[in-house]
Amino acid sequence: MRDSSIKIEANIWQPVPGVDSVEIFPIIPKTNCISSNCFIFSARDALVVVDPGANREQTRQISRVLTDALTLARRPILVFLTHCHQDHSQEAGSLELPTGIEIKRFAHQAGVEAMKNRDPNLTVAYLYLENPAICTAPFEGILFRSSPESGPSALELDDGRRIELHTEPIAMSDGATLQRQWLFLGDGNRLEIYHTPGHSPCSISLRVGSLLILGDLPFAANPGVCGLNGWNHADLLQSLRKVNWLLETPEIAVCCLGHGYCISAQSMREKLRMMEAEASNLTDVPLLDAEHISALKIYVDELLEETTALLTVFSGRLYTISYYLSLLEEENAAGRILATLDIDRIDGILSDFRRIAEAFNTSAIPEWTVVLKGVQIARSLRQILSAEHVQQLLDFHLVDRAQRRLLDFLSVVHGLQFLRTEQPRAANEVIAELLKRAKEAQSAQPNDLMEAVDDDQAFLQALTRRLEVPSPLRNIDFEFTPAPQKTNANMGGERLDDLLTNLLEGMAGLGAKRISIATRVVSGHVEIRLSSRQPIDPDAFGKRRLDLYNRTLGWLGGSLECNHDNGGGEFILRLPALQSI
Amino acid sequence: MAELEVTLEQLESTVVLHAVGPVDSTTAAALQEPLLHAAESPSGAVQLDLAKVSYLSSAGLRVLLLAAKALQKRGERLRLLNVPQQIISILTLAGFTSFIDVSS
Repeated sequence: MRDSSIKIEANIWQPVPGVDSVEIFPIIPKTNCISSNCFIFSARDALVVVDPGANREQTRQISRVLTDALTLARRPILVFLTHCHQDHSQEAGSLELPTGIEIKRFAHQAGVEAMKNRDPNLTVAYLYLENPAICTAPFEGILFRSSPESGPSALELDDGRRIELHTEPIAMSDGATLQRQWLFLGDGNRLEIYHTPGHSPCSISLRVGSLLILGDLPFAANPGVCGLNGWNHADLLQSLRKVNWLLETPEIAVCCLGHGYCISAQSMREKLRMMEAEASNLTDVPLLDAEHISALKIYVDELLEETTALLTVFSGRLYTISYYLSLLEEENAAGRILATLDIDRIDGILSDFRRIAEAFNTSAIPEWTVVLKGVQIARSLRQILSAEHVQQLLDFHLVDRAQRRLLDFLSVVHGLQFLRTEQPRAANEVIAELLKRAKEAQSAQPNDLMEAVDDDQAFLQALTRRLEVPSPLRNIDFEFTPAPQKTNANMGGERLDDLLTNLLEGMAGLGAKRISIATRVVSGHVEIRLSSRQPIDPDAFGKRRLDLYNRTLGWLGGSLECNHDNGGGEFILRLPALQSI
Repeated sequence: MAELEVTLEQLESTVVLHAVGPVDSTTAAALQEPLLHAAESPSGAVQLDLAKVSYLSSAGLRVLLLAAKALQKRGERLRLLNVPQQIISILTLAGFTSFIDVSS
């Protein structure tokens, strides 16, 4: 019977739900991509270790836990790998056990071969610095052999006992087959093993009683994880369906993951449903090899600078409103304005990430770690900025711009072609609307204060609107010279608007008072020229931000040029022209 | 790891604080304490030299806001000196230049 209240705690022995005489000792480190969780089972006939991980200190802990358990009853140790990735497998040969204790290791055939061949790709050792040692300990238990034997395969133990590995596929209701193997742990309890590829061809899930260990399958659609060597879209979708089918049965109550805390089967089903929807779009994911990861790492740095710039200005605008409300002795309203956005949390997230990115340059942090951290940060910020009250706070497009940047980053890490999902527009139209918006921004209604004077709340709202920092573009003297031809550019209208707004606001921030904008169509490209008499120092603007814009335009076959000669400053954007949109 | 150092220079009727390093959520307290102490003093102008501040996050903006509010109570304005262009841009776009004096 499913019991959603079952909790699995780290670092203590506790009964495995659904069976009488098996206990589990979970080791759940702070979530990281260097070393996985480890789960130790104590059964009558064996101690089972699932995923020793890749951390020496964790290995010492596992060895201590096993040694203590062996004082109660000497039993063989069976080590299983949910898959052969380095963060799960590296320490599989390093456990220190009392003399005479026998150890047998089990993994899927593809994983066993990868480790035996010291394959840096399937083990993803290439993600880590300094060529980490791939586990080359013997694996006697080869799971899901490509040429299955006729009867149960058996491993002989020194004391004459045998561990029999039974193969018993499950016919699912939809006609598919779930490959299953199992062995006895004593007292009639079974350890069941299911082949659940997708994250890796050697991925397996393990079940004891009501507890299912899924390894990294639940993360396999995540940006920065999908596309790793051995990842397979079709296999992943099938495995998700199969695991979901398993979870529909009332026998499974808890799911344990390769990283992070255990969750209820119900929560896992909800996660898998969302994951299946997400994974269904991942049909054309590029291989996440070392070169791709290096490129993503640079993108992460640029994203950090762009997001920090946008959100710092946004926070500053809230502070400015609060300052003027305080001057008017509206301290409560000032406090409320600041409380609408968790500025300190956002700042803490960005500052922490900045330090990680800086530490990367001086220490041995794998690039992949920085990319995954970037994904985590992007998701956290998107969640904070998605709150309804934040969306309604101010209409400066800053939050929306930051949101789109974060989304684009996640899409790129996912390997998705985000830039082609938005409708291209004519550059002339985008610019005309941008200029119109800049002039209209924050135009207060002339009678708004008078009309709200009898209602304290409405009065404060009207007052706050009046105190909003005017758009920095509002006082710029623009001169727009549109090209007479069609200026259909190969870029989504919203992204082009974001890019132009960022550049124009940056120019305003550097002191430009008058900006000329001109478009023309030349050599199959739409060219947009933003010129001011104020010099533009790329370092002052934010060199990485400019690199980011150039990279984004480059993906579309365009470019960004920054000139600061002749005493003035100029940006020239070039985008491939489209005949029609 | 980069830290923030703040030193005080007492001139005849002005306190000048010189900050060196990034001002973010981790380091802002190191600026807040001496800057607010100077701003909450009964008299004297307060200037903050940002020539060697490489980065100013919203936590830094908050410290500037608090100092500006404290100084406003006695009719003074906070003055920032030698502000790097990138930080001027942020202060301008955020509207801070309407209540803080800034010079590059």
